[in-house]
This record gives sequence, structure tokens and C-alpha cells, in this order.
Amino acid sequence: MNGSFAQYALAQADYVGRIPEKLSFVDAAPILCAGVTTYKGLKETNTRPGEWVVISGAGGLGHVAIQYAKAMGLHVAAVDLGPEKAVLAQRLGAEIAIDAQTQDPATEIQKQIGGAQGVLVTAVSTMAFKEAISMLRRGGTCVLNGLPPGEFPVSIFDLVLNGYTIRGSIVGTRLDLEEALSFAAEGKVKAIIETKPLESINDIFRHLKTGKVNGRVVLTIGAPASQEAFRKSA
Amino acid sequence: MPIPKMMSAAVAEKFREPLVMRELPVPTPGPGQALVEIMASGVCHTDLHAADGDWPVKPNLPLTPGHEGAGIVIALGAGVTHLKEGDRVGIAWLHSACGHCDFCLSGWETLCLNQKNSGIR
Repeated sequence: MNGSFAQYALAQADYVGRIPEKLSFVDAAPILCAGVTTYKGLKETNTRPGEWVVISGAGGLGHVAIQYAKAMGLHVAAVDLGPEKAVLAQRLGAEIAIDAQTQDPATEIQKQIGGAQGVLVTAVSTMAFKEAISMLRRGGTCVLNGLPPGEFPVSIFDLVLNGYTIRGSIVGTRLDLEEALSFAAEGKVKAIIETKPLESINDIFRHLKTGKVNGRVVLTIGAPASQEAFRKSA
Repeated sequence: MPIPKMMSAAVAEKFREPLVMRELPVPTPGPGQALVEIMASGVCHTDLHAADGDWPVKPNLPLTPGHEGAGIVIALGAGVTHLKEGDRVGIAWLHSACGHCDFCLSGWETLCLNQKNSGIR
């Protein structure tokens, strides 16, 4: 189906998400994929409030995931490359932030908290996937959201003897989406957003390719004035 | 407010080439569909994969990407009773699913084999 890089798009009525009044269109947009995907991914770690989850990658998906994990009552450790990302992760609520450029994440997580019950991989490097398994506590679950092309090696011995679960998770159901939007409307989750016009899409793609995007880019398409005009005429 | 006949869209016409701004006809909602005026759309790395044809099964071109569309319902197709014009809605990756397979019935509509996705054809 043609998508939303346009002034108008068709939706299947039974499958739309309802955007709460309190949530702006700009703030709602990233929740429709990044938000619901990481929220569902966190659910799929089967962690419970009070347990530890590691968010690997603090980019477009990860910086939202950290906030959902906090809102869900989890303890959060975040792993990314570089000191800026560690600061960002802490600002968003991570209690532990590991800069994988200077520290070994698996060693640190095992040393500081004895491994995490859940790990959510939002990073797009295959290396991060291998590393993620080593951050688990026995019986823990690693959920994969990031989509780098390629494969990653898994030690069968580690998997069997430690009772690890590894699973992929893709977007979320309509109910997951409704819940994800509610968290955002309540102000518990807010993506870091840079707004751009539709015409700048090719620049945005170029920045995505080189990893230069912080948070999420949102295209502002319809004028908010048009929304007001509609309400008045309705 | 009258619905315009034409709209601007960013369109992938060839893989691995820049999207092109085009004037396209505003689509008419069919049965079960809603026409949404897009106010904001997030940009996901997956949109880039779609435009570059990175997947084993390549999408059909031309294609308008985008699956984080937030906007307002401005027209309804036949049989839609639970939405009304002016409703604030979001169009997500899961554009639709069949609604009657094992996956849909067990709360796993995200795995439906007959699902349609937004921003990919």
C-alpha cells in the first residue's frame, strides 16, 4: 500500500491507531513504528517490573525503548557507542549507561547486575547481537528489533546450559499500538524529534545511511491550520 | 472542506535512486477504507530499505514509502461505521491483516501471512 510520504493516504479503517487528543501529530508519528515496535519488543522479553532490561542501541528505536522500559517499571541499562549516547541514555532514565567504545558491555553488565533478565537489541550492527546474548542472566530472553542485514554466531553450549531464549519481534498489534500511544499521551514517552518538510526526504535518507540522525525525523506535511479549519467546518 | 483532486507525494521510481516529488491523484477510499490527510509522518530506516529494494522480495514500483503517518480522517469508504470524518488516526506498518487466520485469531496479527503493509507494495 502506498504510504504516508504524501499529503493523503489510504488506511484500512479497522487497522488505524487512534491518536489521543493530548498527543500532537508530530509526537504521535514516531510511536506508530518506533514506539510500538520497542514497546512490543519489551513485552516479549517477558520481564516484570523490578527486573533488569538492557537496551542495546540508543538511536531512533533505542531512545524510545529506554523510556518505555522505565514506564513499564523495569530497571534499565543502556549500551551504545560514544559518550554522548551514554549521557542521552541516562537523561532518558537509564540507571546504567555503557559506552561500548571504552567498556566491554557483557563484562560490565555481568559484573554490575549479574546479567539482565531481558535484552532488547535495537542496534543495527551484527556485533551488537552477539554481544547481547552475553549480557543475559540465566533463563533470560533476548529480543531482536534491529534489522541489520547478515547473521550472527550463537554458542549452542551457552544457549542450552543457560536456558536462554532468543526471539525476533516485529511491530505490534492494534492493542499494542493503542497502549504505546497512551504512554506517549500521558507524557511518559516522548521521542526526540527533528521536523523537516516532505521535500527534504532525500537528505534525510542520506543522513540515515551515514548514521547522522539523532532520535527520529518527522516530516510535517499538512498544515496544522488545515486541521483547525476542518474542525470549524465540521 | 472539499477534498483536492491532486496531492504531492515523495515517490520511489527506481531502486537506489532519490525519491521524486510527484503530483498524484488523491486516492478514493474503497469499502472498509478511510482517506487520511497526513499531518506528520515519521521516517524509519525501513523506508530506506524499501526505496533501495534491499529485501529478498522487492517492492513494486512506483511506490510512496512511509509507515508512521499521523493525520485526520477526511473521507470514509463504504461500510466504515466506527470512524468519522475529523478523527485523529495513525497509519502504521500493519496496514491490514486477514482477520481470520490462526495468527489473527490468536492475537498475532503481526504474523498474518496475508497482511498488507504501509509504504510497500
